[in-house]
Amino acid sequence: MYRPRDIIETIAGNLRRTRNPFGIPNTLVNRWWKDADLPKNGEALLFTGLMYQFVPYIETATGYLAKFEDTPWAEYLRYARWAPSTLSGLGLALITPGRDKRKFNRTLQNIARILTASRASFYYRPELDQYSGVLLYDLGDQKTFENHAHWVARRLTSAGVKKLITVDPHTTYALKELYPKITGAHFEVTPYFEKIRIPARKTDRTVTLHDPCFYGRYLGLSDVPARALAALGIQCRKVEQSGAFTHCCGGPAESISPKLAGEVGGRRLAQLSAPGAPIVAMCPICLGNLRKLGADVEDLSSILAENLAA
Amino acid sequence: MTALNPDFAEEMMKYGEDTALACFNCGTCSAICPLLHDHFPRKLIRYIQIGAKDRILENAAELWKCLHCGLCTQTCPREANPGEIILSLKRMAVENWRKS
Amino acid sequence: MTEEKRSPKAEEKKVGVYICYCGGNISDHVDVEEVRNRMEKLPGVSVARTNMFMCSDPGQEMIMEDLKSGTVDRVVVASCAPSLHETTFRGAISRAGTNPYVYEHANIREQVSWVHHGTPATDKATRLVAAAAAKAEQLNPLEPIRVEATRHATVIGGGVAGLRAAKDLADRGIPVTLVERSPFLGGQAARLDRVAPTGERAADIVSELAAQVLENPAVTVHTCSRVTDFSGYIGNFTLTLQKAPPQDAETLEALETAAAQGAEPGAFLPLAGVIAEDPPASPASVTVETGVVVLATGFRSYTPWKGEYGFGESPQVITLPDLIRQMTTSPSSGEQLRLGGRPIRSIVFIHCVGSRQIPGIHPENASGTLNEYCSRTCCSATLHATGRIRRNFPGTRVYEMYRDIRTYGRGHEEIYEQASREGVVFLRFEPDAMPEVIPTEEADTYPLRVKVTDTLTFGEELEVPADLVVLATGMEPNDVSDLVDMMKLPKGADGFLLEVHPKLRPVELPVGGILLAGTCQAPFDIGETCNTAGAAAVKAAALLARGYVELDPFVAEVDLSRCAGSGACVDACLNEGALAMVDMEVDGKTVRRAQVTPALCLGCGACVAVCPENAIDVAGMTLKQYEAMVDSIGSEPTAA
Repeated sequence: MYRPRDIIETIAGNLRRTRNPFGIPNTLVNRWWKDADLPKNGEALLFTGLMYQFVPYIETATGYLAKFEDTPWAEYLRYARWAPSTLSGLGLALITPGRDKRKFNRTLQNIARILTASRASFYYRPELDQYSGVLLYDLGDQKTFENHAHWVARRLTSAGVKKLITVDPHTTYALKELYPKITGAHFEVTPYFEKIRIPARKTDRTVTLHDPCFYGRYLGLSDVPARALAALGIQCRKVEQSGAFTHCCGGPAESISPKLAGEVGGRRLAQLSAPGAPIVAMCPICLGNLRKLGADVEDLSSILAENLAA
Repeated sequence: MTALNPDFAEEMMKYGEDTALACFNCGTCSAICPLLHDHFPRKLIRYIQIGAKDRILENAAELWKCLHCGLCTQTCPREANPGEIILSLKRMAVENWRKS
Repeated sequence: MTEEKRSPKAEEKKVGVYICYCGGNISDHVDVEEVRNRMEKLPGVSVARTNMFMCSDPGQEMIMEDLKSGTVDRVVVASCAPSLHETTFRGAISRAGTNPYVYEHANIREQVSWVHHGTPATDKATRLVAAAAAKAEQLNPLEPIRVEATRHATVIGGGVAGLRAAKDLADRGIPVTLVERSPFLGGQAARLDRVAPTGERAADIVSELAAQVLENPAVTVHTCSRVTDFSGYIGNFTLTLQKAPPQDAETLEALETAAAQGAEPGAFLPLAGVIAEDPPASPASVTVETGVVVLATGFRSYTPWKGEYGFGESPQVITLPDLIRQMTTSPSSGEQLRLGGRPIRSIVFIHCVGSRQIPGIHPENASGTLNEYCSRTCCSATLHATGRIRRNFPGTRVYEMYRDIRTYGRGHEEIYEQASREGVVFLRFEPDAMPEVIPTEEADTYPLRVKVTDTLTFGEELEVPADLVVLATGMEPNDVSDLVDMMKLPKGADGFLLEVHPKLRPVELPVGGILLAGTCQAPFDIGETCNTAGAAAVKAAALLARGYVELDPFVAEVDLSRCAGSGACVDACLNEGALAMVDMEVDGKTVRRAQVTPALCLGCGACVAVCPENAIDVAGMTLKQYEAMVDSIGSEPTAA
C-alpha cells in the first residue's frame, strides 16, 4: 500500500496546475473527437469527463506501482518521490502505449455513433469537456475538489450549457449529485444509455451486466442499461449482487493499493463469471480493473455499437 | 485506559458527518464490506463515538482502503451512512496533514 | 344429584377406548395398535380405536359418533397430559349430547412414550389405559356446582391498573369498591414525568383515569385502607377493610403540601397522585360483600444496596426515579441540566440495576433471592430520559452503559434511535464486568469517574468523567404477603403473583374469582398495565353477568347413611369453611353430621382418608373408582 498522503498531494497538485489529475495536458489526452465528425450544436453537451481517456494512463502508472507494492523498494521509492512522479506528467504520457489509448478512444466514438443513431440532439466541444475532479472527492481532498468543481461549473454555465450527456458513473454522480450542492450549478444530467432509441435486431446473445456502484446503488439506474439491451434482444444473466446491492470491482483502490484492487476485484469476478456470458461493464474503472484480472469483459457501448454496424 | 472525548463527534460534523452516533454497533457494515478487514469500518465509527481521534490519525492510511462503494451505507439498519463517515474521516485526515 | 341418577344401571357399561398416535410422539415408542388389541379384549370395553391425532376434528367426531349411536356410554382417551386436552374431549362428549363427566384420561405421552421405549413402554401404556377403563366403568354423570354470585367487584390497589379495572367494571354497570393503601390515587405512575413511548405527561393519564373513577357513582373509593380479613368463595367473598390515618413521613409531607396549596379532593398533586378523599381522622373498619376481587397491588422501584455502583456512598449516585423527581423542580431547558443549582456537564446512566441478576455474580437481596427477570420498562424509560436531556440541554453529555438494549414495544425502538441521534454515547458491559463508579480526588473537576470494560470498543477499558450517575432501577412486586396468606395466592419464583397460564388464562389465578391486573403480576409499562386491567375487568364482568358461577363437581359428598358424626373430616379439611358439623334431621332424630359447602371444597380428599366410616367421597374420584384402578394395575397384564 502506498502512502495516501503522497498520492493525494501529487494528484491535487497536478489538478491545480494542469486541470488534469496526472499532470498531462488535457489536449494531449482528449483526442478521440478528432477523427469523429461530431455536431457543434445541439440540445445537450456530450460531457465525457475524460474518465475513459485516462484509463490507459492509470493502467500504465499502476502497473509500475504494483511491481513494488509491499516490497522494501516501496519505502525507498516514496522517499525518492518516485511513485508520485510515475503517476504524473509527460513521462507517464510517453510510457503509455498508443494501442491502449486508441482502444478507449474507440469506446467514446462508439457512444457518439449510438447517440447519433438514436437521433439524440447533442454536440461536442472539447474545451468544455473537463475532468470533474471526482477522484479528489473520493480521496477526501474536499478543498481541491471544490475549487476544481467551481472552475468546471463556471466554464459550463458561462458557455450556456444546461443539459449534459455523460458516459461514466463517476462523472454522472459528480455532476448530478455533488455539483449542485457544492457549486450551486444545476445541470440536467443524463447518462448516454438513457438516450438509446435504436431499432431491435434479432440476436440470442446472453451477457452478464456488472452494475457499477454509482449507477446501481448511488443513482439507482441499474435497470436502464438492462432494458436497453433487452430492447435489442440481448439477455442479461441474473447476478445476485446487483442493483442497490452490487459489489465493487476493486478499481478505485488502484492508485493506493493495486494489490487490494486485485483482491476485491477477484471476489467480484467470482460473482460475475459464467460460461458463455461475457461481462459487460459501463464504467472505465470497472472495465480496466476487471480486464486486468483477466475477465472476458466488454464495454456496454461496444455491444450496442455492434448492433449498429451490421 | 482511554478517557472518552465527547467533543470529537461534534468536530467531525464540519467534515460532513453527523451520523456516527446513530450507529448502534451491529457490525453489518463490517460484515458486508468487500475489504474484509479487521472490523472495518465499524471500528473507526466506534472510535468517533468515543472520541479516539489520535487512534484514527495514527492509522489514517487505512481509511484509503475504503473504495467508497457504498454497500455499508446501503445496508446500515440505522442509516448511519458508514461509507460517508469514512469519507468524512478522509477529509479530516487530509486537513490535519495540511495543518501540520 | 339424586341417588337414582348416580346409581349404575343394571345393564353392562359400554366403555370406549380411544388411543392417540400423537403423530408419532406416542406411536414411535408405544405399539399403539397392540394396546388397542389388548383393550378390545377387556370386559366392559365395547370398542377400542386409534387415530393419528385424536384431538383433531376427525378424532373427536369418531368419539361423538360412537356416543350418538349408543356404541359407548363411557369414554377413555389415551393421549397427552390431561392439562392439554381434557377439556377438548369433555367438550366433544357434551356436543354428542352426553354428560361430559363420564370421561377418563390416560396420559401415555409424558408418562410413557417420552420416558420409556420398546416393549416396557407398550406394557406400561397398557396398564394405564386399562386402569382408566376400569375407572370409567365406575363413572357416573355429574352436574357442575352452581353458586349464586354477588354482583359487585372489589379492586385492591388504586394505581393505573386498579383505576382502569374499576372504571371498566363500573362502565359495565357493576358496582365496584376500590381499595387504596395511601391517600392518593395513581400509584407509581403519579411519580413519573413524561412517559415513553408517546411522551405524554403521566399526570394527565393519572388525572384523567382518576376523574373517571371518582365521578362514576358505581365506584366507592376507600383510601388509607388495607384488607385485613378475607373469606368466602367465588361469587361470595367477604372482605374487611381497615381505614387508618396515614403514618409515614413521606405521605404526611405530601398531605401537608396538598393542604398548603389548598388542594381539594380530585386535585392532582405532583409526585404523589390524585387526592380521592380527606384522610380519616381515626381508624375505622368497613365490610365489603363482593363477587370477584381484582388484585392491582403494583410494584415498587428496586432500591440499590449501599455501595452498589456507589449508591448511598456518593450523593451524586441516584436512581432514575430520583432523577425524574429532581428534574421536576429544575429548569426544563438550557445549555446544561441543573439539579439543585448544580450544573451537570456529564451524566452516566447504568442499566439493569436490580434486574437480570445472575446467581454467583450479583449478591442476593435481604430475603435471599435475586431479581433474575428483566424489568422491561427501564430501557425505554432511560432512553426516553436521555434523549430528552440531550435535546433540552445540549451542553450536558450523556452516556448509557448497558448490557442489552431491550426496546421491545411498538414505538420503543424509535426512542433508542432518537437517543442515539441526539448524541447519547452508548457503552456495553458484560454482567461479570460491571462498571466501577469511582469518587475522584478533590482536585479533579468531576466528582466521579466511571470505568467500564466496553465490549463495543473490543473489550477496551474506558473511563468517563461524571457529575452524576443515574441507576436505571427495575421493578419489584409490592409486598403483599398478607394478601397472599389470606387469599392463598400463588407466587412465582420471581415474587410476582402467578397466573394460571401465561397465554391461555393470563389474568386468572387458580383461586376462582380472583383476577390479576397490572404489575403485581410482572413488570409492565402503562399501556400493558391497562391491557391486563381491561382483561381482568372483562373476566370479572363475565363471571358476574349470569348471576351465578359454575364450578367443577369434583367435591366431597357425605353419605348420610354411613356418617356417624365423628367430625374427623372437619379436622382434616384444608380449606376453612368447606366442611362443618351441623345439626340435621336423620330418620326423625336430630344428629350432628358433616356438611360440605361445595363452592369452598378443593376436592383434595383429605377428608376421605380420615373418615372411619368411609362415609365421605370426592365425586368423580371415589374410593370405589380408585380401587377399580388399583385392581386393574395390580392384575396380570392382558396377554397379547
